[in-house]
Amino acid sequence: MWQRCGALFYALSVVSAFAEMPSERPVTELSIEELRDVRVTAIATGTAKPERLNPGVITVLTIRDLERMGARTLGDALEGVPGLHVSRSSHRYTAKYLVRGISTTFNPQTLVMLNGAPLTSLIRGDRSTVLQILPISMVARVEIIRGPGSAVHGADAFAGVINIVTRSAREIGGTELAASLGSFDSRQAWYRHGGRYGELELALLVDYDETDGHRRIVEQDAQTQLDRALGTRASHAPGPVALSAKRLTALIDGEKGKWRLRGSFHAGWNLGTGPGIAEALDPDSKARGSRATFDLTHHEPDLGPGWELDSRFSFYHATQQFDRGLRLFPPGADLGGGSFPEGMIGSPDAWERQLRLTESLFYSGFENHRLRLGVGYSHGHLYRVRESKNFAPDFSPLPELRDVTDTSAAFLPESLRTNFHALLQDEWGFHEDWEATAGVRYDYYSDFKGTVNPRLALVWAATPRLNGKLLYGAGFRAPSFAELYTTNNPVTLGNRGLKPERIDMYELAWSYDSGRDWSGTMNLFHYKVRDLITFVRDPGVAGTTAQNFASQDGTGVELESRFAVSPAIRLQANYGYQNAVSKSGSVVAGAPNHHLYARVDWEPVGEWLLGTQVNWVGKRARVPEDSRPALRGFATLDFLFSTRLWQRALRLSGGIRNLLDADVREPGNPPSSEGQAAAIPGDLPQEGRSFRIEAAYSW
Amino acid sequence: MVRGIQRVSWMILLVARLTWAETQYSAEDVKCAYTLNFAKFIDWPPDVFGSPRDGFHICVPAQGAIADRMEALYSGQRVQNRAIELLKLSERDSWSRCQVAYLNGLAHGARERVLSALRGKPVLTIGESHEFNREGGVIQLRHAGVHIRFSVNLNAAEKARLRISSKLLKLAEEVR
Repeated sequence: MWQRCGALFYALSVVSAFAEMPSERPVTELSIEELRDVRVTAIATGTAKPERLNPGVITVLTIRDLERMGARTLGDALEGVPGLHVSRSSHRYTAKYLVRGISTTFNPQTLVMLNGAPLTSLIRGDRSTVLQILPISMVARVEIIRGPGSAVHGADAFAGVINIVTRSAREIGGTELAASLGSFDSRQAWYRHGGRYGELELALLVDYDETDGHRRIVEQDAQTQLDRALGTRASHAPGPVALSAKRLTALIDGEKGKWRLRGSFHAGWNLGTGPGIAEALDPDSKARGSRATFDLTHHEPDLGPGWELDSRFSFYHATQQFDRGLRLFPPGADLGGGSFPEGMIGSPDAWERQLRLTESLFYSGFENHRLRLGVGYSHGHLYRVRESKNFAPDFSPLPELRDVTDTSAAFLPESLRTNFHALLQDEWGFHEDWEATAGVRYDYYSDFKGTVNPRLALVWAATPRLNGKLLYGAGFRAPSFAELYTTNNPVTLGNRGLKPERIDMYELAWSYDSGRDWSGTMNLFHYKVRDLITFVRDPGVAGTTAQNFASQDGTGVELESRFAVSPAIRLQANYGYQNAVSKSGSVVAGAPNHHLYARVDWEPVGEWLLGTQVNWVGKRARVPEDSRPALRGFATLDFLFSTRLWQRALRLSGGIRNLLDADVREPGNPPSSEGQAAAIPGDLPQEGRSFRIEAAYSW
Repeated sequence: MVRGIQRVSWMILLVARLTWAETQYSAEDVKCAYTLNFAKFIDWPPDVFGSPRDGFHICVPAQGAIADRMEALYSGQRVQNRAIELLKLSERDSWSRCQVAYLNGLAHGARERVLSALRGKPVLTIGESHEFNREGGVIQLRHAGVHIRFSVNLNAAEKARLRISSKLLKLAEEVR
């Protein structure tokens, strides 16, 4: 045995010695052509392929883009992405990222990730409705992939994926302090620090903001209709939407060698209820919530010749609380079963946590191939549900607020979901100008079993300036806990027999870069969505049950162009068109068919930057049961500026948004059945003209 | 049987090590070599050099890992018929005396400041950040799988009065 080991050891040393013989030419003697073909040992992660060669339709917004757009929130930034419109739900005006016209009520079909880890809430499959995603001051980059990506990202990478990358120590490089003031009594302050301490690169970011919200008037709400039917006078409408908020976010990022640890904490309180949780104005109730994330990654670039290993452990914890309850309907309301002198009150509090563990092994030892093998496990637990309410399941009043926690009367049972996945992918550069990517991922869920999602991509570098891509991708959306398990809700009931929603998408994309003053892209897509989960009316009763009922087919195009008129003036514009039709042949409601965004940046002198942008959103169709005409479109015009003073240490920026005070509205929930009116017939009014100024000092 | 396995594994190891040994260098060394090569394919305006005895200044952030490799690899090397002088600088130093400024290893804010101070000056700026060309840097290096490739911002080069040979442009992955 020892002899054999010895022989092997000897052979290894001979081989090593031979390999290290000075047959290598000094690297400085190599020509550029030779350098291009050299394989290097350290393969950086995060230096992904350029957008034009990426096997997907991808848009990357950098710090500079975010600054130029004057983005105050992620929503502001994403509105400039072709094929994406940021709408607002009637649930606290939560952002809905509508990609290519695909979305149900809570928008679970768009996957939002923070540094590659999903921020999906188990309850509704959305991002928490009481929390913001992340303040823009912490964002270094936003990567948006349109089209399904379940072959890589798994569940919910359905219509698109939005990955938010936070600022690292290197990107901050010093200390910065900023404060801003804006309309609606909005105030914000943030602090960023990034530095190197020995071998540790450390970033610390803190952001606080508060606002009263725009308080636009809702003319009629759900209670207005009840008042009309039952002769009560309880409604707060016409009245303002409640969008007050106070938020604190902290983020820490430490990187040492191959290890990186990132943690974030976000808390919101004094949060208004928008147009009211039941679409009946509720000016007094406030929500609060928090989210903590923790993410540990390890990158091993040289596991052996050609081998790399990425490991990640991530943790997510989120809460939603309504301390004094929500007034679903105002004092004096009567839903046909008796009057609620204090209002109809409920407090659906919930706590959830998720753990994820993933391993990705890369191998690039085969000529022109890069293989990826991945496995992962996740564990999601809605571990605490607390609820008090003063109404019975038939909406009749109870004498007092009753705690129904841990009883069958609670809105949702505490539930658990585990998932295991395995994926295989190969990037194959089979010709100098061609690369194919093929991948497949298998997911097994404890609640709805298995699903397989493939993808295929062909990228052609036709010339150094012209690229073509032909893409196919499949995706699935995991049913949310609310869709699976809701009980005791007379209006909507869960269904444990639900299957995941499915999508198949085909895309053809071209990009051209003149190398000098203009570049352009064109994407054509066609998709089929099956088994969309909707709440379907139960025969003979008033309620609805979640079912894999709907389907939709969509086709569209996205065009984008950038043009440098002169070194000081840059123009960019994009246009998205989508036409989605449901199984019954009707146009899919809620998303615009046409969306145009254009921006001009002008650097007149020195450090000044002036910008103006126009955002035009076309009309939004209604569901067939809704007798209202389509919701009309709108156009907004913004003016933005920034400059740097005191040897660039002080940055001043700001602007006027919606300068012409256009009446912007997003669709509220449609009527629940034919012949009924929508709860808020005038739709959801959005922010009018607003001002903002920010000063940031760095040293 | 065991012997057979041993023999096969030796052969695999031998072949693997040989193939890899042929072409493998560290990423840092390849970047140093690229930098040296770029300097050979670019013409600087003649007024850049004061006297014929002036050295060719390649500047690099003092704290970056690549500074040490450059020091080792560039010793005794000549570019444009001048001896290379490697200057290890900090953000606060003046970078305009450099012919080549290798800006990787500077923090984002610092890099932006140096780049903006160098705008229009005859300095070849080289960087690795994702956005380097867009930020106005002349040559951007990037990892493409196991290879390192580069792209050129021709407008920035022209503003800096640098003449880049067509051969170099042809080998660039992207010219913007």
